[in-house]
Amino acid sequence: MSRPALTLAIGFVLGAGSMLVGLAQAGRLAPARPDALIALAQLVEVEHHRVDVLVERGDIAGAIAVLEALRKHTWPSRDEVGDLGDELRHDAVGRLVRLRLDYPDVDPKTDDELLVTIDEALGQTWRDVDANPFTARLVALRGEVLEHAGRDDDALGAYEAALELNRVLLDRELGGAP
Amino acid sequence: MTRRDDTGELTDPSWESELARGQAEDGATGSVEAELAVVRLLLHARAPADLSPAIEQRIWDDVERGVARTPWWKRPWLLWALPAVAAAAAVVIAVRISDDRSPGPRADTQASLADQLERQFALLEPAARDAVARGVDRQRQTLRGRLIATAVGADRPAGGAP
Repeated sequence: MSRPALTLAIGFVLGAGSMLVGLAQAGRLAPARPDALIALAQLVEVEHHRVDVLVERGDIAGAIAVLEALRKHTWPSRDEVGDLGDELRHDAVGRLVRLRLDYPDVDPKTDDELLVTIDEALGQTWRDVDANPFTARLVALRGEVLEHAGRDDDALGAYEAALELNRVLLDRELGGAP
Repeated sequence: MTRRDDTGELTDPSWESELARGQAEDGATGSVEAELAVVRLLLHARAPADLSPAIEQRIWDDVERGVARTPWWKRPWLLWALPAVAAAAAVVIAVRISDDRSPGPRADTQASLADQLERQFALLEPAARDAVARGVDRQRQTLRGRLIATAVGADRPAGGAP
């Protein structure tokens, strides 16, 4: 193989590899386990409907129990189900934390316990997840809990991060960003 | 013309009527108390009248009451000063309690930020749920394709077509 052809081939390989790594990082590649994602999405949807009914009946304790059970479910990794899996998890935990903040007398939890719940759901890589309202809301709820705990500076940081995510989403809605 | 009794009256009542009559003759009207006081003074100068111990005691009591210092809690200015001070103290306490209970400007800002973020979520949520549903549907199609491919591959006899 001539030298220019070899250089071209190496360039192709590097470019393709970089793109694959980038797409994988962005969670835009097809999940390795589509079946797991489908099952997870169905589970979350059904549990949301159950919570809707329980809240409508005024059974907040029941609704919180359903979401707690969902939270403790074994969640597939991001490699297995992609960004959508994280979005579903943030959605469920966000609803749980919202209910806990709105009804602090029902099965009370301390601020620290709520922060553990949120941080467990967000994980270390929540900033890598494609911008979505569920992650933004969970980050905002983290701010609320921090504010309630008197950690104002940390709360402001969380609020700003959530606002930034929403800004990206709004830009995307308006067609200003990819 | 003079008499002394327990009421302290030193002049005969006829003096008063005489003075009043004289005043009427002069065409004047009104009290004759001033003239009566002069008469009393003249009578007293001519023959000093001694006071009974009871009257003397009563006069001294009056004097004592007149010159005695009023205790601070009975002074008139306390009547308006005390309620005013109490009201001011109540206002200060109320304001301080209100300051303690009401969140500061920063807390207000944060509370409004939380509300604002929750409103934004409510706005973005329906479209996001649709997007998740579409994403899951795509994965469902992918899975269906894989299953069909697997089934087709399984139906084919091993070793290729006859």
